[in-house]
Amino acid sequence: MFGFKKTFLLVCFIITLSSATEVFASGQKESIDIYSGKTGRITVYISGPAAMISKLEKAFEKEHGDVLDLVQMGCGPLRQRVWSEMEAGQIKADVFWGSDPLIYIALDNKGALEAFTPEGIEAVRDEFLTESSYTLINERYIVVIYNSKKLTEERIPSSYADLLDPGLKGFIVQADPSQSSTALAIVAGLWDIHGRNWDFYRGLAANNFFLSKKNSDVPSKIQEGEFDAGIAPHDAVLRLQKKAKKEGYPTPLAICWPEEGPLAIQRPIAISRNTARPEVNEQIARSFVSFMISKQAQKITTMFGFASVRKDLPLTVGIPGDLEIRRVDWDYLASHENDIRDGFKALFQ
Amino acid sequence: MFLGIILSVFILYPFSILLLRSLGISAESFKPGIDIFTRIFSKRGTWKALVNTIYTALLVTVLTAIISGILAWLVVRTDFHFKRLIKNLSFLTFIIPPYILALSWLEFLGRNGYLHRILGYIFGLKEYTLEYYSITAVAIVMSIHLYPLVFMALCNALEKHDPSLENAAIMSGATAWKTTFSITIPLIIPSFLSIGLLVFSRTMANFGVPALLALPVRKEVLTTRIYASLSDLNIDEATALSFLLVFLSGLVFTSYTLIFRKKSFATINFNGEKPRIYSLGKRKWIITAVVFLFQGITTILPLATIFISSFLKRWGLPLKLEYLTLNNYIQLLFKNDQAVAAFRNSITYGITGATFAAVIGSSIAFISHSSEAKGGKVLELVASWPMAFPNIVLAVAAILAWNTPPLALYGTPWIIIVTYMVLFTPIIMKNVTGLIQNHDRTQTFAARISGASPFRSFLDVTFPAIFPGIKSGWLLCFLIALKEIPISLMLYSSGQETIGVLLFGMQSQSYGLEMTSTLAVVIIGLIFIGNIIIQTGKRRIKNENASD
Repeated sequence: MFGFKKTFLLVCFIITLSSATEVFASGQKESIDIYSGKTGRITVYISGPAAMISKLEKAFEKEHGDVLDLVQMGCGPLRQRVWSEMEAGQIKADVFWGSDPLIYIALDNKGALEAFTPEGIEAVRDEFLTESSYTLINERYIVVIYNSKKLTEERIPSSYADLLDPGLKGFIVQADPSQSSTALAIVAGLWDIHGRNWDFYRGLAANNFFLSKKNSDVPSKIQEGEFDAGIAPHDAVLRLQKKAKKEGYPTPLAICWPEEGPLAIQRPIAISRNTARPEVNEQIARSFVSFMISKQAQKITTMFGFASVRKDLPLTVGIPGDLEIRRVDWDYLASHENDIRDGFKALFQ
Repeated sequence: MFLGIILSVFILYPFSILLLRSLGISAESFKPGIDIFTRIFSKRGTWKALVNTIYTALLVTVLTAIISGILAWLVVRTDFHFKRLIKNLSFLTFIIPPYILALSWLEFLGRNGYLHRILGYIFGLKEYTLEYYSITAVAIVMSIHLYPLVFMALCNALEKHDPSLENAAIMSGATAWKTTFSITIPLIIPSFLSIGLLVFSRTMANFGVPALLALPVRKEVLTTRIYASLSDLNIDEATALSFLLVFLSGLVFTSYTLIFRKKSFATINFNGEKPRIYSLGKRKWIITAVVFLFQGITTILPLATIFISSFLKRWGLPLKLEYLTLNNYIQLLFKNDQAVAAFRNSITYGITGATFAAVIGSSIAFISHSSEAKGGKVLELVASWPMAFPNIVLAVAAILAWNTPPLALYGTPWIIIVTYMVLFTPIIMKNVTGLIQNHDRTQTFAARISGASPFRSFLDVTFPAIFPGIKSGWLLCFLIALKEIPISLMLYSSGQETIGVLLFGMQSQSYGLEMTSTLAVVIIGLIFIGNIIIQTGKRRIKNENASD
């Protein structure tokens, strides 16, 4: 009889061999789409404030029924998840919304997005129309945030460049581009508007700037008094100011709209390409993307500080009307993403 | 046979994939070689992370050895008061998860922390230059977390070894110092080494503390570098770094096993002779005060900091009545859907993973130590492997193994449950092995002679004897599931957030450190209750064995 030990070793051998064979074979297999979701419900990967997401879900489902499985996560995990799933063979989400254009451009280049033009696109302002497979839903502005209690009048920054003030050494914070997708977009954008060189970030590194996990940590840490100033999207500050007012406590948070013009980062939405997706789910996914540029959804997002892409909605409360926005060439930055990431890392080695 | 298949599928398969991938063999390419390693070692960051990892682990090993050596000697060999209290406080420190200790470190020592506020209030201090984010901060927090482990082991060693050697030295005219350095310390060196290696390996494997206290100032260790590589979508680098970490852990684990096998170094106190108790004399109260100050700083202060912060409307606000609230607890336990789901998920995954591990781990322990079935030792060896693997590496192996058919578990709760099962099986095995070895096998033989089948005799004779071990091991695993971070952080998806994921990412625009503190208080409460149940169970087993 075959002994236990031999049987065990044989099983180990077979499994190891099969795993290796699987690994080799899958390299040569043609990609065949598999749909792992449920018919009649779509999975949406989504990043953003929980209360906003909840309002959007309720508004959409009021008309379409209980059809959304929302998976909330930060923009960094969203980017990581979508990319890992694409590399593993199939993006599990039908729709994903959040983060920044860089990851969507990379996914589009890999053919992982479905080309789709949502209903009502004519209501969107020209600067937000793209020829890519994704749709731009909102815009946010990268501002300098500061703690008005910690900084004296003369120290209050008025530009990105003011953060290089040695008086702020050790008290500046920004999100870590290796943990936050939007932070990578911020680094790329600021690198771009500073003449595509690293002088600005080299200066910040010399000023011992701190890297937080997420963009939303930046205003939190400044409000809490751990840091004096930082760089982050404006919308989180507006929400924190609103929350403090509602709950009855003072907040020292203030925004400086930088003199150089605030960097604009758009939040895209996209449908993943999957030929095996049932027709009913395809329709829900398309309806959801169209809903996101509707007046109703856009109004909800502006309540949470984001700027709308629609022509017929006024500027979000808290954003000055006379801003000179700095928009960057995301396609160029996407094609240099690895160089930018490595360049940033190299500043600290 | 069944167990062999389970271990092959859930342990050997993921680790063989990890090995293949790190050797350049993957679904995307077939380029066997060590290119990935050449690439990662060409980066200065890898070397820095490696040096930081070893530096932190060494510093923690040395710090815990010094603190625990002094404390254990005071508790076992002197007329120090409050011995039981010191042991209990140390145990309390040990059950606080290290990530929560790190949080309390920030809340107390941070720029807007309580210490700065107190110093500002008393002395008007404005400038605050303490470097509370650093590799040294990581080492201090890990030392506070791990010193109780060393302390307990050294107390045990000091209590058990033969005091007649020391007594002989003293009778021959040696001073107390000379006896301590020439007899006592050399006798407990094997215990120092084996527990020191465990401390070294646990520090090296930790992810949460360096992620919180070192990564923000761009100081990396291997675990945070693996995490950053995955965030950068660089699976190859994450895999190679995982392999490097496993290699280091393997070295430590092998050394630990070798030293542990040679524990016969220790002398046994056969004649029941009492060790000599040194008098601390006039210095007793000063020493007591210093010890209590230490315990206050390492145990009471972190707990108090977290507790107070959990009632603030927003972390950073002054401690005034108008800014205190119970709303954080109400939000966390009843209103915040994500938090409620995280508790539900952690409990479900913990129960399921621990139950599978209990069945597999106890079966392997039984086959290996009690039954006549062949191959038991091989099963035990393979099932023990995950002990040498840091949790973050288990997560990377799971991602590689379970994101494609035949078993596409990625994206389902099963990937977390299966990884928990792999992590928990050796813990259950260790818990049960001692009971099986102590179990009187003549009872099993008597059952067999009386006509009972092997299964019947296991069910009626062996199982009741090992059940308390399974129970306490199960609970221990369940408690680990409530506080672990890296596995669930790497593997969670659609609605599968766990308490660990929440703890790591709760601080956001909606919540500050006050809500993380609230969650930390709830976790500590749960762990405390769980540990009381475990300790009560262990005492009962001890009493039952004594009465037998």
